[in-house]
Amino acid sequence: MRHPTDEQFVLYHYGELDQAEGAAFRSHLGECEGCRERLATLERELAAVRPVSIPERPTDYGARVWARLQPRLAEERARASKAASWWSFGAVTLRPFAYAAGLAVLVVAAFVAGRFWAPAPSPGQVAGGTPVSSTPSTTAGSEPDLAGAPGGAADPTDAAMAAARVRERILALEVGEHLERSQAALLEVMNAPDEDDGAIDLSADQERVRELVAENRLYRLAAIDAGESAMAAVLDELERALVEIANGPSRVSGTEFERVRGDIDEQGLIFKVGILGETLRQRQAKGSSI
Amino acid sequence: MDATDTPDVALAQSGDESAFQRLVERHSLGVFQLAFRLTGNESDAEDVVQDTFLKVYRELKRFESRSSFKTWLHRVTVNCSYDLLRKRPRARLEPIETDGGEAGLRAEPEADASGQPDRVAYGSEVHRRIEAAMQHLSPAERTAFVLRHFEGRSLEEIGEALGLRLGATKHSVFRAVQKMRRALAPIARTAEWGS
Ligand SMILES: [Zn+2]
Repeated sequence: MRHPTDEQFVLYHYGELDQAEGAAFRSHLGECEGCRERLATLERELAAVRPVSIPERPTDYGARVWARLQPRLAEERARASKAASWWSFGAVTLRPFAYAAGLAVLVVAAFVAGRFWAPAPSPGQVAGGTPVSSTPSTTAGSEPDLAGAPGGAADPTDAAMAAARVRERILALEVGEHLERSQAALLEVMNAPDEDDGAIDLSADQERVRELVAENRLYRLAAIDAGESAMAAVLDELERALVEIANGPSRVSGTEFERVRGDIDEQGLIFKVGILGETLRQRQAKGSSI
Repeated sequence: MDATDTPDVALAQSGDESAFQRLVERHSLGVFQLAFRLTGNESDAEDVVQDTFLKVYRELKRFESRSSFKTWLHRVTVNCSYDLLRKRPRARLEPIETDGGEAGLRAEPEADASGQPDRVAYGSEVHRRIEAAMQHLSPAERTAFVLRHFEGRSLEEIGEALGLRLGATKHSVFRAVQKMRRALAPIARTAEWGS
């Protein structure tokens, strides 16, 4: 004789066996003394598990809750008007975010742009548009020049061209590394394990993704400034996905998560990010454009 | 309850803060009680009350008034409690004593002078063990168990509130029951006279 499993006993107790299972269970009980005893024991034990008493609240409890809550609602309104979440509404509202960072970002971006994105000047021509320092540098990473710094009257010398190429390579290297980090983070999100309850916990990934969003924003603005439209487009898509993950709930149900996964998948984003990263690695080696 | 809520929900959705205040004041106690059941801790329950109403406020526009506000509020409370349980460190991970060997704990009810077991001591020992067992449940187990065992919610409803599949919900309740039984096992043989 097959006796029901422990789990079936528990589900039977709670009336959660489906009809067929329930009928089979009852008919087994009718012919099995041992299982009747098992059930009696389970019910006795569960009957002992009674709810704890709930502490009293004052009679004006509702008013107290409201007093504590009200100031937070004002904060919430301010926050909500600043950035509607792409996650929640499915609308692409990235711009307010980018602007929120304000002038400081633009200044930094201009700096980054000036420093890294100067097109390599052809002989007999100064670097167009973007200011470039004429000072060649041996230690490119700690180059002290600033975009728009006085004394930047660049001569079309070999030294200036060499400096520009170095900058371009540094940028390719930096963006390449950023893309690698982003790709790794996206892959981790895509493959985040379901917990035993079927939901996904993204809190660990989100921390990392937030940093990537800030980083990405700088590179994207720099790419736009430099007229690197292919790169800017990929960075833009990447940023939307990163923002969505960063601003989303840290814990999502399987269904919600599938939607995000689907979005990332549909855009072939990880693939594109990978391709761009690869292109940049090559570019870094050769010093050519995308 | 819900008949009263409907006009206030509509007003609150259009930005009327005093209508939202009425909803908060009307339901605070119920939210607290459920949150206390779920978290087992007064200050955590108070935090859940705040989180719940803040979330409700944030998502009120998306609430469709066809469904019951109270049901939705209940679900948000469960969600917020569950989030809090997941963030809360599960401090005491040492196993609950399951044999009679532990020092200082009574595996058997004490007898008083007349030789009768001390019912009060027994009752508090059961209570203590249930509390301890509850602390050892995972957030999903605890939430599912409280909702099924104490609140009488259906597994389907619980699964929806937690974003769990039915199978996972069933399994959570089952594991919780197993842990409770294990915790009660050392004193279970004396349960007959206790009931
Ligand atoms: Zn049997």
